[in-house]
Amino acid sequence: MSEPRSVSDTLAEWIASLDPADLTDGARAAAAGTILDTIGLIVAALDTDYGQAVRRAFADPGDATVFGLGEARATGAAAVINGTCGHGEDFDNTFEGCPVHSGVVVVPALAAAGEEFGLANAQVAKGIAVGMEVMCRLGLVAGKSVHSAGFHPTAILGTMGAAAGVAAAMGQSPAQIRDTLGVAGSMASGIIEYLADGSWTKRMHAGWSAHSAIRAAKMGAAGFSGPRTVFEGTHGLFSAFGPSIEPEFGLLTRDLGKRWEMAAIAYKPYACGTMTQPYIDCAVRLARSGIDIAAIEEITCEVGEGTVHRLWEPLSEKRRPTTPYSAKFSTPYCIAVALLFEDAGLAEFIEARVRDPRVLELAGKVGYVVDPDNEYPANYTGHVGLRMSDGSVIEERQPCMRGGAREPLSRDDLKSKCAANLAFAGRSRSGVAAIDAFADRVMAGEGPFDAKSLNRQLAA
Amino acid sequence: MTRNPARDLTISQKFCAFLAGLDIGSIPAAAREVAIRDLVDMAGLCVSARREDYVRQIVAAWDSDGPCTAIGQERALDAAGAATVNGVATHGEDFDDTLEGAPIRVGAMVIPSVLAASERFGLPGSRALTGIVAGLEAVCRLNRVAPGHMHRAGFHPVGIIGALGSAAGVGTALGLDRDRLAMALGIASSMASGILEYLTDGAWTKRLHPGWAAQSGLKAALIARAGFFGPLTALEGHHGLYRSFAPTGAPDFSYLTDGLGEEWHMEKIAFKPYACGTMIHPYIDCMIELGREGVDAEAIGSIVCETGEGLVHRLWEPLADKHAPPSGYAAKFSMPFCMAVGFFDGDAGLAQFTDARTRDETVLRLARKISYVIDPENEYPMNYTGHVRLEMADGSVIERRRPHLRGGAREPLTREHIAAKFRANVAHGGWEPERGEALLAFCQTLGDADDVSGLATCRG
Repeated sequence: MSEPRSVSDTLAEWIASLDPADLTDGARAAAAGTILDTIGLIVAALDTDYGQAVRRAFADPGDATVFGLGEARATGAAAVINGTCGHGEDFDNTFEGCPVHSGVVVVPALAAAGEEFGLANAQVAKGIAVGMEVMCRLGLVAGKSVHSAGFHPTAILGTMGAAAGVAAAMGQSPAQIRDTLGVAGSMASGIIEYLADGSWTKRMHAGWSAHSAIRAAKMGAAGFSGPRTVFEGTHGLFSAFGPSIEPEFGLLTRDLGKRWEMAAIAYKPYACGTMTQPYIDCAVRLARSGIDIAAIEEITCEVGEGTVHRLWEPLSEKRRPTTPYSAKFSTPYCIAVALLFEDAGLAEFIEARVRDPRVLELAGKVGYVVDPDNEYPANYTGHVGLRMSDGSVIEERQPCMRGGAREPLSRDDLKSKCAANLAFAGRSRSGVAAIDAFADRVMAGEGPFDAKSLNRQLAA
Repeated sequence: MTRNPARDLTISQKFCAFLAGLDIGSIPAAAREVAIRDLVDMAGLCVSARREDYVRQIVAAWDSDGPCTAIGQERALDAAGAATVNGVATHGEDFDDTLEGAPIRVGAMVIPSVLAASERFGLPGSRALTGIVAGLEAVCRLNRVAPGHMHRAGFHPVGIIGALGSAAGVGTALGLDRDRLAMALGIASSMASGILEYLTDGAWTKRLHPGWAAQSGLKAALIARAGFFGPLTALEGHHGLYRSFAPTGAPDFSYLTDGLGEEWHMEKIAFKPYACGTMIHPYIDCMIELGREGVDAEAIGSIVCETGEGLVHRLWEPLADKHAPPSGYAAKFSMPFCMAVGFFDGDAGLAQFTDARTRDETVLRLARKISYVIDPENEYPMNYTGHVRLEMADGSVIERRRPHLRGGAREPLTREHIAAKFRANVAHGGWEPERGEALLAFCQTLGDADDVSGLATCRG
């Protein structure tokens, strides 16, 4: 080919030449933390209503592991179930700069691929790191453009990232990787109409993208041709799914292997929308400082304009969310439970809480003002201002998202979170050690990939 | 949010109330006949493509065996696999059906998934036929809502609308109730995918789209049947399908709510006599007529065709490339090549679109003489016409016109035409004629069959 190299050519050459031994410590640690976090979340959601529905719909028998579930499933089915459950509570990892949830697409895809192809941990480790890296970098290219076009970035960019990851783990040639990415571009999907009624398709997107990624990688491996200009072409991914921007592909291709963007992955301390988390930190600190909840007259938060649409409006509905799931995307609700219970974990997002009159009364006092200087989406900040019945005003601020690059969660924090998630599902907390060791073994690249032993330990 | 869920039905619910009430007795004979012809056409196309690389690769890439038939393939696959392979095989040569007025493929996304679901779940032939009619009608009506605007946004309507049509067909065949069907459409809207970047390098993802849409719709119907909550407002919502995939359009949803059961849009499905782009057909008819009259190709100085502006981008330009298409597949979308080969061969079937034929200097010499002028009065896309104006070496002028597409509503192909095309396709695929006759009989009597187990004889 005498044609200039396409963006996917550059990616494919890097992926094919990457030696798993060259993953940096930072990349390994971020991937291991993500594996630990993701598996805990999958197990926590298996018996929820949506977890049961997706398990019924994808009942095809097979040899692939659903984490925490007794019976194995077909490869694609396991990927859908793991992804849907992992993302089900919106408690999984995210990325500052563009909120893509890389763990719940990449880990299910690579776990299924690892079993399907009998891969070594070193290959799976490479695939997870590459998948997360491509997804995060695509997020940097996309910024807000995919969301504003009406599409879910985790779904669209996740299909591409996970396909790159599976192709990497399979050891595909550059030409095969290019075809894999080209085919994945035609499978990328996911509209955001779940915002209207809190329906469950957002959850499904992670799993469906993982499933699509495996299919795309198998087609690329089989020689099915996909467009080599899938990213930058006139009819490419970004002109279709992010038409409002002129994409800067250097963010995707510069310093690959030298700088790992995914090493800065963010974990969520709370089980709700990412941008609500710094607000919850403020509310938790106020509650712990001993303020008199009954004396709160009004709560006003300074917010970035870009968050209003999803997390604040329509305000009357956000103050009275109809389901535990829609409560996760209501900042007024999240602030109210944080003030009352000093937390916003899975236990704060159940039916009984959503109907709790104390929560609803307090949420009804929460409002916002747009701060034009707010840094969103470059940085996620929090602010809660209380006007008390005596006329005094108490304010609390959080300068960044806890769990993010500026204030990371430690591995111990992640283990505590995983333990709480296992307990929520009625499982023994002792499973945490097994998951933690599994995550380290995979990312250390030692021995064969073996999810079945982990599942036996989780069942014990 | 002005909708009162208890009182006001969404667009999906209104349309799905119609689908849920369908049974074989309520479908007029004309609509049933179109469905049967489309089934015959699709089955013949699957046999014709059974040995093509892109079909073999899809079969090789599919990892799940099961009880379902990919027509002409020895290996039995799971339902999604059979739906994918049959969808790709049906559309692979661009020889399958189309819809006049708002161009889209119809059967390739619907029939494969309904057959697969019927085989998987042991449905009677009458349910299968009802599902096919429902899916075809859904594609035709959904495609009328905002015609042209998905293409404009960079998406292939086959992939987008096809996923919903497939879900409607499978959901109806399975007997889902109104709201489950509507949720299946909502879930399929989150799976709908397909960008147009194949236009740049002739990559095979265009072929992939109907198969992928078919299996996505199948999965969406099964997910909805399991009780998974999908958005009911996926068509008209603020973040709905048309806002995301057709943002420049002003959707007219009356196509999904008016005349249901009275007017059958699927009766306007057109069948292709030639294995190339639909809009080229009337031009080929002009050239075949001239060839039969004995016009001497060497005596032709130049050929200028009046054409609709909408055709130029895909079928005429870049003209130098269209004069020398790089592959048999690219040749299907070259107006000059199709016209030239039709002139010499008196046909434009599968045999005319081999890679070898695109290097035939006799054909290419004539193709190079062919060019176009835009006729601002041309009726495209409402009607597809043909015109050639030959300037002969001796200065004389010969002109031919075709007022419409043969195979369309104005001049339908008869049942006998479709059967003849079927037999030619079966022969092209290398089947013995008796096997073809058995498959033809199966298709023509589907509505009376106890089940679709007869499909199993079409393996290999």
